[in-house]
Amino acid sequence: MRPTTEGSRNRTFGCMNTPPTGGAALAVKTTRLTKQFGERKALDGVDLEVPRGVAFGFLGPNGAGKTTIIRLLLGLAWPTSGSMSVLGHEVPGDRGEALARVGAIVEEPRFYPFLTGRENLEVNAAARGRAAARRISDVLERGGLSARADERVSGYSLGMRQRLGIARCLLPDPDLLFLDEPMNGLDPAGMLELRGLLRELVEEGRTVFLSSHLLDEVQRTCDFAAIVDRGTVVTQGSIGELTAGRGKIGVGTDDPGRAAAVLAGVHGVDRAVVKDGAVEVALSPNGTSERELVTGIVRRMLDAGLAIDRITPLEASLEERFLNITRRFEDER
Amino acid sequence: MISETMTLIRTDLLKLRRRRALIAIAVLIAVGSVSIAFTVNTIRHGANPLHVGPAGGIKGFENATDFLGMIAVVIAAMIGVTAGAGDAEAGVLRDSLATGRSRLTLFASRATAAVITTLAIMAAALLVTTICSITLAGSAHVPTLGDVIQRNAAVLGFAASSALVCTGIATFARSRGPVMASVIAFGVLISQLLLKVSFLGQLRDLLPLAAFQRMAGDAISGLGISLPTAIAVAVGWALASVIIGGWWARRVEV
Repeated sequence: MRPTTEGSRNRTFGCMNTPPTGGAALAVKTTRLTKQFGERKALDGVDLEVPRGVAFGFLGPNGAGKTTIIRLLLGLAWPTSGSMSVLGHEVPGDRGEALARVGAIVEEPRFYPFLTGRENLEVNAAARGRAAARRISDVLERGGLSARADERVSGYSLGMRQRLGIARCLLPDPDLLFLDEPMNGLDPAGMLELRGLLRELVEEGRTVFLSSHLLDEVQRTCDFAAIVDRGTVVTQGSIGELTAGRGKIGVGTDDPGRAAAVLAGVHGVDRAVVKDGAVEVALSPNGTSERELVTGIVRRMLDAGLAIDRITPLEASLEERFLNITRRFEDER
Repeated sequence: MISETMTLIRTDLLKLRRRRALIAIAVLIAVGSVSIAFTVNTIRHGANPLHVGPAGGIKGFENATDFLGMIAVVIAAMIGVTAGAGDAEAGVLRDSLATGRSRLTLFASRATAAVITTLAIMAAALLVTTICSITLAGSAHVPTLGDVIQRNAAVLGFAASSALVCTGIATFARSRGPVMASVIAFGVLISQLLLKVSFLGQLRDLLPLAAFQRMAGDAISGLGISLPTAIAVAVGWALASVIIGGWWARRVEV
């Protein structure tokens, strides 16, 4: 297992299938990005690398800095220090080039309620150029809005507005989409539909940067994720690695009750409990490598005369990981 | 490039035009008010031709265009402020800026659309005024071509200048109601009072209303403002507001 970068806030991916070699290989790159509002640091030295052609989840509690970083990347606000690039172009310096193939929903899709869905897209396309205007019918079709495109947006449901927002994002035929909480207000069917659409977009080679507090959605939709808390990227990695059992293992043994008691006293074991006929062991690395920990566990069990059937890493949910990480990060502070 | 800019302006015009209530009220105020004034004066003249002069003629034309100078401020405030702050209020400013299009270009397009819309409404009101002044002149002198050109140009120039002022200020303030109220209060009421405060002396030359009255050819008691100065004042106000609006549009964080 390759390590993720948990705990090393300013390091970058050590876990991508194809590690990026430079800015051009990345959809987004930020270096020591800081944004300060008065005395308060909304972002504090964020280093982020988003590979191209993936769905990238950007997770964090409310007020963690998710929207701020999206605003900076879209040239809607200016960084206090640090640098950033989008699709290989510096922002804000080369903002026009950088954003020409970027679609975005920031916070929630907003429209002119007195214009129709089509007219709203025409307004946005006018700022992008002729090619975008030619795509209006296609993106309406893709958003399932063709039949109601000529109705005023004031009559649209929240779900329809979300779909119109996605349609607007697709106008520039984007290589990169920033979607800030796109599942908000969608019913389960709408969420399923949107999840499918996002995966479709990724399969087309686009990068989707999905900011969300819905951890389950990110786990289902994304390939990679970063967790941000209080303006700092706490960890980032592939979903597989973030949810892998690095912190938890299952031990199959002939006497689970005694094994749990023995393992509870092992250095580096947070807790050991009997679950489904096996022992679930929560590890607490504390500077010890996983290999050393597991070796220590095996040794103690053998010394105690316990037989071992199997040792398996247990997959944690992203939610568990998220809560562990943000809680630990809070404790460290 | 030019055609893309035209498309941008066209969509900004669409955004204003589709605010049907706003446009309807603006047209009602501009065209409706002069129509009502001419109608009432015609009735009064018909009822008492010896004591009440005809509704049209040069006098009626001068009165109506003076009135339209003040109405121009109201219309420019309604349209210009909506163009300047409408996107921010509707929450779509971010979406426009996130396209990567130059912020200045977007601002310039909104300002142009505001000027065009304001001029269109004022032109309709002036057309009604001019037609009524000629057709309802009766025994009075009809306005000459020179009068028509000068006074219509003054109203339109003042309206355009006011629309730019309103767009610039609203872009800076990013809110419609307070800016609209302030501009109307200053343009229609406070300026009138200030013009009458003689101890302000030549400072009054800097008031947009003084500039308008001079451009329209009206005599202003105690003021010797020249036509070039009047034009410079109107242009100066517009330019200053556009510079403030453009500067803010470039640097504002949304």
